[in-house]
Amino acid sequence: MTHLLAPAARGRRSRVAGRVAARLGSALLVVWLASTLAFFAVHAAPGDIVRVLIGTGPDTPEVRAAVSARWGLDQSLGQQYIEFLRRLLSGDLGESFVLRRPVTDVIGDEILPTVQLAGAASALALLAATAISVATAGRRLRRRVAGSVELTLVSVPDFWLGLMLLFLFSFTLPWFPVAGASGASSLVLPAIALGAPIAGVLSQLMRQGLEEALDQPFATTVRARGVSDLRLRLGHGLRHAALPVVNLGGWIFASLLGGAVIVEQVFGRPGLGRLILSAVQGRDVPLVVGIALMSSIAYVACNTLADLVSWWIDPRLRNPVPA
Amino acid sequence: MTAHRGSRPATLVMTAVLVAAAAAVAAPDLLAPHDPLGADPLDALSSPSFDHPLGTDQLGRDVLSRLVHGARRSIGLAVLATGLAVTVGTFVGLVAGMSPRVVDEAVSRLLDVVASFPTLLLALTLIAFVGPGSGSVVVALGSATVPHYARVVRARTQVVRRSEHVAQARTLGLSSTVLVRRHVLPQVLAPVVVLATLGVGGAVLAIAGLSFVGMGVPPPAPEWGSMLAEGRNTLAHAWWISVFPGIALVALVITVSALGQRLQGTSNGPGS
Repeated sequence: MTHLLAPAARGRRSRVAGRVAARLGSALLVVWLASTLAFFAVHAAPGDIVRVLIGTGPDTPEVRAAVSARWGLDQSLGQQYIEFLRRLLSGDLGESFVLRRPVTDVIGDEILPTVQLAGAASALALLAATAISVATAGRRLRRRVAGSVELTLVSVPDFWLGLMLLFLFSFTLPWFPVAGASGASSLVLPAIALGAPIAGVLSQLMRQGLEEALDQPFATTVRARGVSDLRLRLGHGLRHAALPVVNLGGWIFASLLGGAVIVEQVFGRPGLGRLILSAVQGRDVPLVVGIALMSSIAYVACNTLADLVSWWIDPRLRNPVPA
Repeated sequence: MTAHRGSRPATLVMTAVLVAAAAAVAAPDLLAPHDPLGADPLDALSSPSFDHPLGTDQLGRDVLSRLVHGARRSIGLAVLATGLAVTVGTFVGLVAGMSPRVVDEAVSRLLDVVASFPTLLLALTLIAFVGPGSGSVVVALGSATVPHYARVVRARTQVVRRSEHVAQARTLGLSSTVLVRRHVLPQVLAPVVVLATLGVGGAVLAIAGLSFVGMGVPPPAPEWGSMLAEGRNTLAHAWWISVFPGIALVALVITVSALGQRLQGTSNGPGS
């Protein structure tokens, strides 16, 4: 029979490959458009770029010419654009006018505390959402309580939650440090503040996924085999609840990054937040745009990966019924 | 979904919050016991009392009065930003949805690009160009959330334009603009109203966040986010400065989200 099925299977495989290629192509298109937007944004920045670059030095025609040549501003816009794309492909996001350093170097110096914070917050959010959804799915009273808790978590601004945690557990009870990023203990409160709203959203979605799974015939079969309810939920149900979480990959990334900028301020932590805010205050357009472009690329990568992973988890999604 | 209909106590609390917010926005002078900018160094950082129900801040200003006066900025700017995003988003969505495929594709990719920047980061980038301030925050946040509405309107428009009654209206010889205004727009608006309600809650949080990091409403004007930023500095001695604006934010955002969910429940019908 295999020889009869083979052509169909091969056709299906090439269709899947085609869809993957199309998805990657559209992601690249968005990244290219975002980069082009970033390039023109830096060029449209208000003020005389050469004047900013000269700084406190003398503003003579010779100095202007030298500075323009040094930063490649004497070339035509088209040449500069091609040069920009060429550098971008080799991982160069441009140079900060204020700090006079490559944007990637500046980001590299500041990114570690933010990555630690975002990692801890997402781990916490996932754990909490899993625990809440497994404990409350399909149980009338518990899910009502969880529903209100989740609405509250989603509605509480992360920075205010941070302030309250700081007041309770740093000032009133001296359990955690008041500011800084030294050691794991300084990570606990910021991670809770950043992770709580995400946990609220994830736990709602995961419970929905779990409840749908537990209603399906396979759940009855598993129960009939004498498997305990908890093992049914953990071993079989969670797989179904994972899909909506994977789909939200891009959203989670964006919330973590946006939230981190503000939560870092609350806890006086170093990181990307401090970098972005000081760049915005100093009107350092190349640095701000460079960071924005980097996060846009990372966001597109997250979303693309999320789609590919969900096709891999759930084969039904590979060939959607045309609408 | 019975959850969407909600219980009677919840309705009462929601109404109370909305009435209080509306009153604070409409007539802050009637509600506030003191001048929101009236500093009194001798009375700085005093805890809640009969004269100052929510205490005073580091300059001796009455926290309750600042909270009441801050509502107009915190809520007003969020409503303006959402209004901007909804207006532009609806227009862009209608154009994309009614246009031939080439235009639709181009507009959709452009929306993808805008949506690929995290909202807060895009807003901060725009602020880097125009400088901080109330106006910049509205424009920045409004532009950053346009794709949110444009995508929904586009998808809905494409469904509506293929529907029977639009086709019949077309055979009557109506011009495209009249067709869109009379027959497409009304059907597209229901989901937009729901999204916009939910969006106002998010915008309130985003505006407060931007003000908290010093990019929004400049001091000394009262605004909930900047009040929280001031409270951060005196957290060790005066919890009341940070606690009450946060409670106001949470109460407002929960109410607006719950309202949005109920609207969603009614607009989708009982089956959803």
